[in-house]
Amino acid sequence: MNLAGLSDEEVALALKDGHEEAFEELVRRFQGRVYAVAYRMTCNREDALDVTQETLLKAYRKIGTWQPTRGFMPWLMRMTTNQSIDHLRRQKRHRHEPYDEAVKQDGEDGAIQSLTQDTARHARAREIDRRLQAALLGLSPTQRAVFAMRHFEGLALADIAAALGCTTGSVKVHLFRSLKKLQRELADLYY
Amino acid sequence: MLNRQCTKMRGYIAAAAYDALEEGDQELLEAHLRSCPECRTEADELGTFVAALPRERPELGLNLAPLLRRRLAQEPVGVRGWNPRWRWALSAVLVLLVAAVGLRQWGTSIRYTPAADTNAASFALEEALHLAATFEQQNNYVESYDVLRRAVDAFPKEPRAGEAQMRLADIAYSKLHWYDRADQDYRRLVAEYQDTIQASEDWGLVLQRRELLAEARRDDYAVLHELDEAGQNPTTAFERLEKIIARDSTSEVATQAMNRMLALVDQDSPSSEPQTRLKLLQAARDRCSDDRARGKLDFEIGDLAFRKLENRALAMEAYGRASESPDPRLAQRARESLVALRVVPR
Repeated sequence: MNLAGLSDEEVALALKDGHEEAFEELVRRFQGRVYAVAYRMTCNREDALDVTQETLLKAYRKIGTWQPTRGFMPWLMRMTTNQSIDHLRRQKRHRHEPYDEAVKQDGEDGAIQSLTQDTARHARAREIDRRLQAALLGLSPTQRAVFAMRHFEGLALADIAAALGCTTGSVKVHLFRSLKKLQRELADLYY
Repeated sequence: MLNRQCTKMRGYIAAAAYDALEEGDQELLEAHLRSCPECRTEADELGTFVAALPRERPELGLNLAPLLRRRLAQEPVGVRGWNPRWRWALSAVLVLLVAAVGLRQWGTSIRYTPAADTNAASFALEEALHLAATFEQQNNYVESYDVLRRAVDAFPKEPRAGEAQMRLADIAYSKLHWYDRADQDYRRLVAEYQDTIQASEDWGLVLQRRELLAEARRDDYAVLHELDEAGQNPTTAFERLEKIIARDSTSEVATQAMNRMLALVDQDSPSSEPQTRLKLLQAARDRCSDDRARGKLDFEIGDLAFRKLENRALAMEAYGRASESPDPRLAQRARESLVALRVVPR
């Protein structure tokens, strides 16, 4: 079955229909995005990797409950945020690590990427991102999820609402509150 | 000075910072900003702030597929929830259903008559119920639901169609958590199969679920999914259920959450003896830290004491506490119950 040319929903439907090879395609397409949101939620690469694996496995096991009338991405993001929140509560810690540690790769297929370049511009970008990641810790899990999905992943507000099981109005309010908190935390960087 | 309109526009301002507002809302916002200098400043500053924030995505940097494949290979068969082998059985039933609907005189000794058709339809429905039960034993609820749904759609007037409809509604609700589907299924059950409901021991449950789904429909069943999620993590389940109760302690959802809370308290109880409902309610109330949740549990204690245990003193005490709940609706109900207690003769 040629999966490369199918939409995300079509690949998910193929998996729901029993085509096991569709799972690898879904992993390939979504592992990065799930990891990115999980990382912004847990602020820790190790935890984010755990959450990513658990989320993708859960998606595989629960694909029978996914309804095609709703997009696949919101459904997956919902699992990601729930897994992240549960993981945070289990761990009861919010350590975070510098962003350039997060992008170094130690997996079986990874190529090393590093942001440790010597220009002032990159050093400042790194610093801002570190401060942003730390500031995210001050948000509630829901605010963090809304911010991560909108700001970093560019999800539509309706999709975020579907992922979190709330209204788009609530998403907008969460987004506003998260931005205001971040604005206060990072005021010295920008003003 | 900020007013109610400004408060409403805050969410719009945040969305606009990401160009994520729909056209109508964008026009509303622009109209407001033309007349509100504070919000205009807020929108400008927030837009600038958002534009300056970094957006790089942390890279995963590795392919998880091989690892996930290994983990799945170690899981027992059937964890996924359905086995494609059952597709053969499902296909067989569907062929039977089609054959039952499309019986024709084809030069055989069997003539197409309504009686023969009814027998075939009954047989197909029986087979569907049997197959669905088999799927359920294998935890293949999706397949079970599908078989029943097709059977009811094909033969809605058959005597056991109501039973099939009740079964599939229960599967949609309690196994698959397809609440929008369950809502439609229970509505159809109530509209078309009253006799089945009245004859069933679960009629109370059917009506309760219908009320619950009607209530949850307002927010697209989000609160029911929240209830499900609350139960997934044992260490946080109690607190999450408490929050759901506290949000609207007079709702059906709150009652559902409370019942799940009692099940948790029962599980956590060190006693090996079965706990009475009263003891569970009291234990749950003592464990709650939120006044609204405690109020709800006090109200339930009052109801139990009044209606079942005939313990007037306990009911007065519990309703009395509930009447001080920060939830005004619950407090009002508790006060009404206290009045009723004083009026009802001993």
